[in-house]
Amino acid sequence: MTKAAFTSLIKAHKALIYNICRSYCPIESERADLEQEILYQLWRSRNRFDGRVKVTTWMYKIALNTAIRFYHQQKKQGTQKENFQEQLIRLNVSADDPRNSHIDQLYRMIAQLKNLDRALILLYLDGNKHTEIAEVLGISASNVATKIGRIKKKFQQQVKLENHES
Amino acid sequence: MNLEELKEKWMLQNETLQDELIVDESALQTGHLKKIQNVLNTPLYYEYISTFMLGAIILSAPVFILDIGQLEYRIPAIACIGVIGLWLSFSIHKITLLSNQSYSILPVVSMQKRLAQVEEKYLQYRKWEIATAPLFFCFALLGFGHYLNGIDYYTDWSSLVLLVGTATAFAVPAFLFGYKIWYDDKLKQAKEMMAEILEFEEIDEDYV
Repeated sequence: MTKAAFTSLIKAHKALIYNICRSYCPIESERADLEQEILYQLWRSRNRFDGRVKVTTWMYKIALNTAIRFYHQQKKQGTQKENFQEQLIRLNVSADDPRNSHIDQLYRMIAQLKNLDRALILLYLDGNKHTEIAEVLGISASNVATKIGRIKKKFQQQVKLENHES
Repeated sequence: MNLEELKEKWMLQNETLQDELIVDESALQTGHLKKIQNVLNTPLYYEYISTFMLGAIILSAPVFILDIGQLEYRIPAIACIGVIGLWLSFSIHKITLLSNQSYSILPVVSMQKRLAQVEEKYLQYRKWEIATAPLFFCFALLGFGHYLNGIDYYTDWSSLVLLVGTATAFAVPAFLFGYKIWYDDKLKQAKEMMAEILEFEEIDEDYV
């Protein structure tokens, strides 16, 4: 894969990377490290992509594996090192945009989930089918359905609670 | 608002994100990813440096060992080099563990399980490095201490007590601290991660 093709791929799926980074790293100032690690892992694996699976399946596997590992390392170290200052994928509008209130609520709820549940719900929210989620995560489709059902219940309770509080 | 409605909003947001996100193309086209590689591979580079240094010590050790005349000092010096040899083999194994990671081959759960196993294995090497460090200090001080300052520790008891006291004073707290910070705490976290993965893999029969 050439540099130009790789850049086009990243441009085409920038929202996928952004959502994973934001879900695993809620603090914006620390997000650059995770984002760049994901980009590096994608770049490193670019020649292993043989087209037998969907490009998004390949990207999800790498990005989620990197994010989960990053989050685990971050928890282990206690503090984040912040190796990189600048994000290579930046949002052009303000994060306080009022249109985003529901999405912010969703991100808050995602941040409260465990590592692998976060991956599962991100795949679900991005509109992937249960079989596709199962392929990325490596569990059965029925297990995916069960877990989504459980998270749905959890989210509903949380929404109720947040609405009650506000 | 339920999850289905939130999902719809999420997917709409994804469409707008595609327009609102800016990718720094020039950074991707130039050598920026190489810089990231250098930062991320720092632990691996440390292992390479450590392997090189330990290898250099082992290669140069025979010169000093042959120069130590008395057998009772030569034996601890050889034992000290033996410990370094052990560390060298750990370093080589750690390089193998650190350099064979590709996140694209396996699905997320299997990959995370493999990474957690690698982490536990890595920590096992670290445990043995920490555990053999006091031995290394004792052998080094006895074998090479005599070589450097000429004191006969086997007849000069006060010097031997001072030597053992110094070694114990440094090695024991360093061992306890290193064991807790670099092994025990990290192993607990690695095990927690593994438990989380196994729990995720399990099918929730109650819910089904």
